[in-house]
Parts: sequence; C-alpha cells; structure tokens
Amino acid sequence: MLTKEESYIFDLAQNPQHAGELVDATLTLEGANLSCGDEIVLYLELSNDVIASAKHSSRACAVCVAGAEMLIEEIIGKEVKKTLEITNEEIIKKFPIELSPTRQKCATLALQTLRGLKKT
Amino acid sequence: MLELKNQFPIYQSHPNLVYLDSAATTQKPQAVISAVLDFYTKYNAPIHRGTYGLSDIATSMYENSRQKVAGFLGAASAEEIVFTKNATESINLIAHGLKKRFAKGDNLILSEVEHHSNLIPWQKLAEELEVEIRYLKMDLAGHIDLENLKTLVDQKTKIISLTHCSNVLGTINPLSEIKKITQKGSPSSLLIVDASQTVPHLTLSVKKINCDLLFFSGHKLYAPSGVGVIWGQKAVLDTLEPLNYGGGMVEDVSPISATFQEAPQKFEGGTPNAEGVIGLSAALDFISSLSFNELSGMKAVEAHISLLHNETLRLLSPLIEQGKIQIIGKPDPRSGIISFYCPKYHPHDLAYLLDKEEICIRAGQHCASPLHQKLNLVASNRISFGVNNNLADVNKLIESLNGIL
Repeated sequence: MLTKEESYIFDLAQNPQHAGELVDATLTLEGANLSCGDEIVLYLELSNDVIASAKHSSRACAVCVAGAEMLIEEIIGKEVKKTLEITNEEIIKKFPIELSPTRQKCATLALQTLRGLKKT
Repeated sequence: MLELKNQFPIYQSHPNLVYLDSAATTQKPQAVISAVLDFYTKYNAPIHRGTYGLSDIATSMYENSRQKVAGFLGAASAEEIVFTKNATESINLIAHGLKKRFAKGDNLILSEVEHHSNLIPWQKLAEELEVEIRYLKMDLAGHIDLENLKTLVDQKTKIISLTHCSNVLGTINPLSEIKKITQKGSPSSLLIVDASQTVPHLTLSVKKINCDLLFFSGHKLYAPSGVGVIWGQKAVLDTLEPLNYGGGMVEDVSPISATFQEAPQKFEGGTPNAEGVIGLSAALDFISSLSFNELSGMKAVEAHISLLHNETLRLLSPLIEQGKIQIIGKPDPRSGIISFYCPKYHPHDLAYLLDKEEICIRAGQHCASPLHQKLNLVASNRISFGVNNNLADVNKLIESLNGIL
C-alpha cells in the first residue's frame, strides 16, 4: 500500500503538468543518470534573461519526474541567474518522503540538467 | 531444496530480508566470515615476504587457496591462477596485457550483451591501437547468432571476449561452439570468458570450455569483496604484460631496469588481499559442503537455483499473461537471473515499493547500457538468486508483486 505521501509523488509523476515539448524553446538541455538510465530534456523559453516558460520530457522514474515538475514550478518567472542558485537540498526538501542518496540523484536530475545553462 | 538461511548471519540482523540481488553481490556465509576473522586473529603476516614462521603459514594458506581455485576450475595447475581485485581489474589486466598482439587494422569481437567491464577496456584499446570492434548479434531471446559469428571472424581477429552468461538476460552462451568457429576463422585468436555469472551456479571446466582466459569476481561467489581471479593457459599468461609494477612481482631490479617473475606472480604486484583469497577458498569449501537429495557441491547449487528460477517463472505467469510484467529475453534456469519490465511502474519505483517490504531486487541498466539501448528500455528490474534463497522468498516476492501491480 502506498502512503499518502508516496501517492502524492506517484500522482505528480503520472499526471505531470509541465510535461511535453516547447515549440518555441530558446534552449534545450539534456540530462541523464547513467547508473539507472533516467533521461530528461528541459525546454526553456527565455525572455530578457527570465524563464518565461518551461517544460520537460522525461523517460524516468516517479521521483525524477516529480523533481522536474517541482523544479519547473520553481523557475518559471525567475531570472536565469537566480535559478542557478537553487540547491539540491531545496528540491529534496519539497519531497514529502525521505529520499535515499540514490533517489536524491533522481530527484535532482532536472536541476542538474538546468545547471547545463552555465555552459551555454 | 537447500535450506541455508541459518548459515548466513545477515538474516540475524534482518530476519525478514528477502535478498534477490546475488548477481550483483552475494551474502556471506558464516564459514567465509569466520575464515577471514580466523586469518586476522591467528595467521596474519605478509605473503611471500617474511622470513619467519608466521609468514610461511600465511603464504602457505594463500598458495593453497590458489591450488583450490585451480581444482575448482579444472585447471591444469595452480600456476594458471592469478589473483586480482575483481572481474573488472581482471579484464583490464587482460586487455592491457594483450596489447602487443594487436596491429593497426586488426579486429576483436564482443557481443551486444556485455557488461561495461567487458566493453570499455576494449573500447580504450581499440581507440589507442586503431583496432576495430565487431559486435556479435543476438536474437530477441538473447541467444548469440552463431551464423553471424562466422561472418565476423577473419584472419585479423585477435580475440573474442564474451560473457558466459548475460547478467541481464540470463542466457548462457555456447562457448565451445564459439571457440570452434573462431578457431576455424582465425586459428591464433584467443577466446576470453567473463564467468562472473556462471561461476556461482555451474560446474565449470576450463578444459571443456576450451577457452584461453577466463575471469570472475569472488564476491559473487560468497567470498569477500576485493578478490578476483584470472585463469589462463600458462603459455598465454606468459605472453601478457603485467598491469601493476612494484614489489612482489620482480626478479631482479637495478637503478635503471627490472626483470619480472613468471606468471602468476608477475601479475600480483604489491601486498595481496590475502584475507580475501583465503575467504574465497572458504567459499569454495562452503559450496563443496552443500548437498540435497543425491546431489552435492555445485551440482546441488545448480539444481537449487534452477528450482527457484522455474518456480518463480511459474508463479509469475498470471502477471505475465495479464501484461503486468514482461520477462526480458529467455533466461536459462541455471543462471538464476530473471529480468523484467513492468509497464505500470518505472524499475526504480517498483524496486522502491518492494524495498518497503524488505525485498531487494535490482533496478537500472545493470552496467549494460548498450543492451538496454538495443532493447529500447530505459532500465529494467532484475531478480537473481543465491544458495541462501528458498521458496518462502519466492512466495513473498510474488505476493508483494501481486499486491503492488
């Protein structure tokens, strides 16, 4: 049986609000977790250094997809440089369940992918 | 069936544990733990270095272990056994040691199912020496295509390096037939075998397989971590370059050069993992001591693993028929490996849900990314058995899967 907290994460992953592609994406970032095979693509639409819109396309576990959903909620409307200040702990804290070190990597894959912005 | 839970102390700490990840690493029996403890408390001394009695005893225990491993593999002599850190170090040593055999434009053959450890060392060698890697195809069940092999081998094929059993698909490769084909196409080619997944469950004979080099990790065979083995025909081992230079492997050293001992000592530079090697010896004794019905030793293990495997597949069949899980490939029951995909839950999520009930199964790509790419799978789940498992483990797994799915 799933707990209420686990159900929240699975629901978030099974009914993602920000999944899909952005046709007008200014930037597309790809990330992967080689140890488990999770893959994510982040689509960002920038307007004057502000993230106007964002979506993700994930082939990943529930924790990873939920992490991407939580991240996108956090970054829309924010300046790019502010989003790069988001820490792993801030994302992990949003999860109502305890995450093992392995699952923390899943939760922060979208954030790691966003950090690819530093290279662009 | 074997009933050995009382010989594995892990169950004293975790009485409800259902450990189904022996293909990754096995739990350790008390006999192995005691052997390591015994070595440290009674016999610890440097191997091959001391001029005193205690060192002689430790050296003798270490070399007796080499002899035991040789017997276990059906090798001609203990000189054919090299101790390493694990299977990964073994194959790195082999790939490094064989470099001189290759010239630009030569080729080597691997299969599509290889573990990363039997892939990346060859990729690096191929890049450095401008050697071509040819990949042996498999069918959808995971069986190697022998007709395809005939088209791949030519006079420039220097080695073929294959797993004996896929760590994902649980299929067992027909090595003797493979050797015949490669020898016909390239008489001087070497067959190298990753036996990491078969050494724990099958009676192996390097003579029957007719390979040239074979390697495995001890920790998948109930031995401690940090000990691996290479078996090689002495004539082949003598041609390999060492990987680790230093103490213990030299014959004569001057300020400008050194000469090395013969195999196997030339590959064992540095103070070895004596307690690991002695633990491996204890693991082999442990296997030899097992019996049920008329079977003993590895034959008992093989029958036990096959029973667990077949019973699991039988009990999974309703879930398979309902499309709730899909078995990947067609695993050989002797492998004790069943990988599957579940449409409802990502492999990580399913492993998490089972872990809540103290059931440990693997989720991920199992260090076989190219295979998962070929199968178009992000990841998979894997159940794998050891001698410590029993039918109650299988029943608890099935009950939990039925509840979750």
